[in-house]
Amino acid sequence: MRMAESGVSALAGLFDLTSQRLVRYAATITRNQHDAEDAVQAALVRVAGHASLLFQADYPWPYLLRMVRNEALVIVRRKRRWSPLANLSDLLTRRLVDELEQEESHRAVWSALRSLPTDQAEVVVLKIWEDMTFAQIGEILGLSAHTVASRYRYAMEKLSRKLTPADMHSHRHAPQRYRGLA
Amino acid sequence: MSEFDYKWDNRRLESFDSLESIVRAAGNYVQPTDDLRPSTLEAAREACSRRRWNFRIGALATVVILLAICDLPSLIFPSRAGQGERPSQVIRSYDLHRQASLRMVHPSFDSSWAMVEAFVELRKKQADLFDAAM
Repeated sequence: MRMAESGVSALAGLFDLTSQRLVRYAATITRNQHDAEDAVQAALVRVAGHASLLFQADYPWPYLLRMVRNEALVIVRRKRRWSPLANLSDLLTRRLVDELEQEESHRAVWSALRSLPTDQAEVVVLKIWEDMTFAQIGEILGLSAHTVASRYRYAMEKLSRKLTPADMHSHRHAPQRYRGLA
Repeated sequence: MSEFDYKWDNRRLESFDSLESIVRAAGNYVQPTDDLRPSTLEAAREACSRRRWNFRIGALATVVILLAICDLPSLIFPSRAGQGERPSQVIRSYDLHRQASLRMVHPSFDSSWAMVEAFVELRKKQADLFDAAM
């Protein structure tokens, strides 16, 4: 509602609330943070211009995710800048002092996600990071809940081969042997 | 949560619980760059400004088109439209000269007086029209 009343000024608040989650989702699709940020920016600019699109939606957050997804797909089709290798050099990451020991684990997760097909990776992102049900994910992706669940299962099986807890533990002490690390 | 989701979440996917927690922990690892916020706000501001200008230009163009359509006959046929509306008020020197030349058929008639008479007759016609209108 604030978006409709004050337009661009309210966009700052929306950006602060959502940008990190939108960028990580878009990065799953574009496989490149710069393109992901372009997609997020394009979506938020559209929201600022047509705020009614968002606040009239039944579920604003899934609607915004779908807008970002569409913009990301447009950029991917236009640029064809796929990087199928698990190269994380484009990512701007957060390094907290008390989480340094987990950084290898996080990098391994992102690297493993990038090794998945996009349609499987975005299901994992929406399921785990956005806490969505398969039905909600299906609405965003335009798929049935069964299809989404299948993709999730395939993705998790692949991830489990790359990120088993035993490996995570052992590689935390020997990060140079980490599977899936860039 | 639907029954289908419930089954998936509680039976077949139980084995992924630990893996999910590992993936979930990496959710905040990637951050937007610092310049994304100002560039997004600037782009939104420019887009709104552009949209406002487009609206103004569109409104102006609509007004011009409407005016042109309403006044089109007078633009295309200005002389005919003027004659139709106010025939008695149109005075041309050509008409006065023509009336004067008609009076100069007689050789003794001076051209200056012919013009005076034509002008007096014109004023008389206009006075009659004015009286009729009153």
